[in-house]
Amino acid sequence: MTPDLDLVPFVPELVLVAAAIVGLLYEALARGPRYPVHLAVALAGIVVASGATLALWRYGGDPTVLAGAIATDRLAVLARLTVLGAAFCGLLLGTHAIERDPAAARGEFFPLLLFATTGMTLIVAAADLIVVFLALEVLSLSLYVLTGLPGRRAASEASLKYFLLGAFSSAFFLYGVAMVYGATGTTRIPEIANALVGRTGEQGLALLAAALLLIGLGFKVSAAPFHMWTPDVYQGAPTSVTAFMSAATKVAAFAALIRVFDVGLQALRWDWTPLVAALAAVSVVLGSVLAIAQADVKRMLAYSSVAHAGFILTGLTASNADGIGASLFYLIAYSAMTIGSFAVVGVTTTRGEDRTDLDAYRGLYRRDPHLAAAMALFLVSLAGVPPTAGFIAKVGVFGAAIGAGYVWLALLGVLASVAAAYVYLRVIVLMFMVEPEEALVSDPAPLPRIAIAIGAAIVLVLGLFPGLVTDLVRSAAVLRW
Amino acid sequence: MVGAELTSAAVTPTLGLLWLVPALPLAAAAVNLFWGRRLKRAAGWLASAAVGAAFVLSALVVAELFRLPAQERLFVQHLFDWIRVGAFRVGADLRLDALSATMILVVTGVGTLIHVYAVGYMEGDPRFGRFFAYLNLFVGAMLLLVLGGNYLLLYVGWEGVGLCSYLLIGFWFEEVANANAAKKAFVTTRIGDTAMLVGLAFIVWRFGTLDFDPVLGRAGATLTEGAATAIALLLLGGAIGKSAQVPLHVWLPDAMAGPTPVSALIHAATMVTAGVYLVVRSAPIFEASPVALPIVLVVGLVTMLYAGTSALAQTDIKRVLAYSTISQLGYMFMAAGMRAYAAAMFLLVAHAFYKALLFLGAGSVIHGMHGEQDLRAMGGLLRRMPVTSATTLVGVAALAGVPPLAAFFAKDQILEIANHTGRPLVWALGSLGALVSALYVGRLAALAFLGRARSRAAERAHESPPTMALPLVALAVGAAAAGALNVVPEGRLAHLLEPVVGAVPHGEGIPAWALSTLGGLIAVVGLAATWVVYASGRVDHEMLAARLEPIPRMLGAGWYVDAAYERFVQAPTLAAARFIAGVLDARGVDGLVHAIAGGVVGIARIGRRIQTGFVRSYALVFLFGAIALLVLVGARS
Amino acid sequence: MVRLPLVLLFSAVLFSAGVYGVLARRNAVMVLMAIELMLNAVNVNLVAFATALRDVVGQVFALFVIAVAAAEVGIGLAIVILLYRTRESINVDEVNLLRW
Repeated sequence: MTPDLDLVPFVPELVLVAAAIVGLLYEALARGPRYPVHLAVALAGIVVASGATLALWRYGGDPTVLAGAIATDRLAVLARLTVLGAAFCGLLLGTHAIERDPAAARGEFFPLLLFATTGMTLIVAAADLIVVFLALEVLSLSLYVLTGLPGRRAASEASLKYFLLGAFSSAFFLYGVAMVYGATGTTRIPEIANALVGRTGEQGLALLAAALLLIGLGFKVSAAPFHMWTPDVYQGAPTSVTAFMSAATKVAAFAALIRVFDVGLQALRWDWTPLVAALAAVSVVLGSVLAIAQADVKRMLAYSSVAHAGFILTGLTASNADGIGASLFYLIAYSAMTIGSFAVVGVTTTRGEDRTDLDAYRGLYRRDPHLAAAMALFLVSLAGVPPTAGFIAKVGVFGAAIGAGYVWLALLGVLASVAAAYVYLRVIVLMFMVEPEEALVSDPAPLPRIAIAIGAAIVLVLGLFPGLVTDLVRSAAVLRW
Repeated sequence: MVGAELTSAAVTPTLGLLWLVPALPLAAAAVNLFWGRRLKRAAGWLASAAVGAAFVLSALVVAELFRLPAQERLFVQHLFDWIRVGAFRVGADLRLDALSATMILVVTGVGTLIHVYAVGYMEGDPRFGRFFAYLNLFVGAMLLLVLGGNYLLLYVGWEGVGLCSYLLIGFWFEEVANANAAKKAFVTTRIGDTAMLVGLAFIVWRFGTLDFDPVLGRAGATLTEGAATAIALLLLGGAIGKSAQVPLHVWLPDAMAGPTPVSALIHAATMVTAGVYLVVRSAPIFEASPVALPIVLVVGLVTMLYAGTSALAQTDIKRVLAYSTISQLGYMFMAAGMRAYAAAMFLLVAHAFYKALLFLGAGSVIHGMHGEQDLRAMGGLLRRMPVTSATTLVGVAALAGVPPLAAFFAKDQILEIANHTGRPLVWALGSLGALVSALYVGRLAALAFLGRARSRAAERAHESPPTMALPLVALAVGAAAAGALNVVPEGRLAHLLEPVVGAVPHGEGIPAWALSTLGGLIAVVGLAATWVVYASGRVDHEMLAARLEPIPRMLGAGWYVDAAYERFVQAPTLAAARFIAGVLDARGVDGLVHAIAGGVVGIARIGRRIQTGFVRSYALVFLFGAIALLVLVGARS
Repeated sequence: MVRLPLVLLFSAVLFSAGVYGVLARRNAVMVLMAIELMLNAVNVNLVAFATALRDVVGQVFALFVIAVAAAEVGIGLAIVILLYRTRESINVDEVNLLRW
């Protein structure tokens, strides 16, 4: 077989890597104030990559290119765009953090973030398990370093925990890949699907593989009980990095999960959907309940991230276009609200990482009404209250689960969202109905506010007019191979 | 159910304006939220104008609707597809029929008057703009609630009004008691809302849609009795929370901590009636169940008597009215429980007028007496506040059921139906309730307006400004005339509502004229009795109360239901939370969480200890998870 | 010719040994090595399957895994050095500033 060399569907990754290398060289060679140039190069890379991705929406070639390594479907396009949007906002936040705290600033931030983004855009398009694994490592290794970049105690601890547990989970994932290979004789996801479809009888090896792959990807999406790293890493990492990875990693890992399970292991769906449902149930309950006892906003949002992973998994139990579409919508909505809320965390006080406790939010409305209003919007959306994107997203995944017969899971989700509402309400009460006690000042920097505005606009527009993206999400949810 | 047979009318230029009815207050809310501080006093007028314009629009649209033949009086405005997940779709649909038409007219009509009144009442408040932003937001959400063409939109409005209620009860949050009252209201109604949300999930499961037409039209055919009972009771849970029925009524008396216009608008005229609206709207589901409607009837009956007797012994003028509201809502539930939906709606409309009037009158009294709310410190206000007193006395007579004012017709109809459908006990207890309401409202009037002034504040009381007095007059006219709604032939409310909610049940019993006469007598006798006891000076009512102890004390404390909740529900969870907090974590998070979810907090506080901080223990948890998943897989293959 | 199930069993034991190492070792470098053990257990698996299937993909994959593992060790050691700089210790049981 001659490998066909259609590189078009791979252009976004090429652009990102090129921008990252330019950034690395620049960091090594340049002198003087460098951040504006870094930011410009990285943003240019992301914008060009987004353009290249958009052009792929109407790609008419083969379902996979480069010897079956890269998928060209619309799932890849939509997930890539979401990741790139998250990276765009992450860059704005990171630049602001560097400006505020030059002592902890590292120019490597920009190329590393681009490499992580490359890993993420690659994994959502990967049609071969080898590529999935490589992309997973590219994004993970970059994120481990980004987490520890400031070099302070909390950051280095977070980095170590993330790294050790991440490598641990990669080994499980890899074990799963090996088992799939053993069971089907191939690592290409479409071929795996074909190999499993016709087969009757013993599926033990493939089922074992499914469980192991779910463990590995479950770790990346922070599904309980593989979520233990999440609170510590989210709290210890620089807020800008947390914002970026909370959104982008989830999108990337979920897109990979959808491709591996809903394409590759489609034939086994009656066996793996109960596993997904179990993870979803545990995540939803654990994330919602444990968020209540948190006194640090970043930890609280981390537990909320666990709960949201559960909600997205709830949609995936349907294992059909409805469920995938609902989960994709949820991912887009969640990305907007999590980046937005972490961006607010970054500028709530001028003291940055030192003040992420709830007390810093007392009377925020008095201090900075717009910031408080934006945070309230994100929290309300995280809670799933109409008319925000979070509400539509929840309706979608619960609807999909009910349609697939997982009524108990949907009910559990409803109850957990009610419990979780108190978590978010508590912060809203602190912001609006309590007078500030100490003299804190919120950071007036413009860059994070751009990210906040983007997030808020998406949350509102998707909440009021979800019809705008419904068709896009639907066509991305129809997988072809 | 007759409603499902209605066909939607074609859009006309006037009907097409329907979306503006909720949109105007919402837009004004947004303006006031962001620029309220800069608008100063204009914020109040902007808010009033927005609601007023919504009222005019509603009137135009409703007039257009009623020009159509009876079986075509339905207009569904599809704004856009809101949610689409596979076959499940929810549209942003507004539904105008006789039922929602009645509701929007009440909401915007009474709402406008209360807004105007609030401009005077809230004068000088440092958060004037924000107050009107919340108030407008409330009106917008309430209109969405009643106009929503499916359960999801209804729920959006339902949560929206709950949020506004919470924000407005705690509007003066500087006082801890107010913040606590807000919290109590939010948590208590939230219990009901959760039940309702689960009910909605059941509806989706059973029907695959949340649109009123398919759900209500096929309710009888689709649902088994068990399913219908489950859904109806879950919805009823939401209604009980929102409409402050026993046993979730405890929040409403405390909600009086909010500014008085809020009490009038939200906790008397509109939001608390949302529960009644929900039951009436969902009637086919309730009727598909053999036990749901009887339960509604019992809940209403118990609430009516319980709250009425509690109102007898309140000393705070607003708490008398709060218990009275609970009691009147109980009447509406009773009517709905007897399938007399139109009668429930009639009382709802009448009640909106006279109870808003009474609250605004009480607010005017409090305003004139510089914040005094204790009935025992009032007296003789008739001479010092003539407009307020006269209009409030109209409200008193209307509530008591003096013919020919509002409640006379409304209550009379409900009692007549009880008697004519073979429910003599309901009729007897209902009549007793009518007597009780005449007694408590008469007592209020006698203590506040008649007799002699019992405090310096009462002696120096002054009349309120015209922005407050004019709405009082307008509402007094409404309260006096609302009874006519059901007297005019052809234009009768029950007749208009019939295509949507069905006819009022009929039967045989004591002749209607006899019942009406009895009803009127009860009102007059009740009021006269209170005059003799409290205002004539011939009876020492304090002595009388002392002799009746401990009954007045028990009634004053709302039959100790609050105390019992505090003792048996709140205190143990709080104690548990405090214990856990004290023993395990000295940091102590915000008190709110402790109160609302002590149990969950306890679990959370223990649960977070799994997160030891040691990376090896994380790996261990990971491994346990992995093993559990592998075992699950093994069990399947 | 060694039989496939035997090799699979061997690699499973190797993997479990790695898991045990991660759980039992306190020294961060030793934990790192235990993880490498897990990855190499998988490599054994991949090569065994490749041989059994007479397919080259598994072996290519194993080479990729070795390369990735090398990169992982590089990053891992860097993080351990960072940890040592901030705390003068590489005992993972002393790292619990972030918790609850």
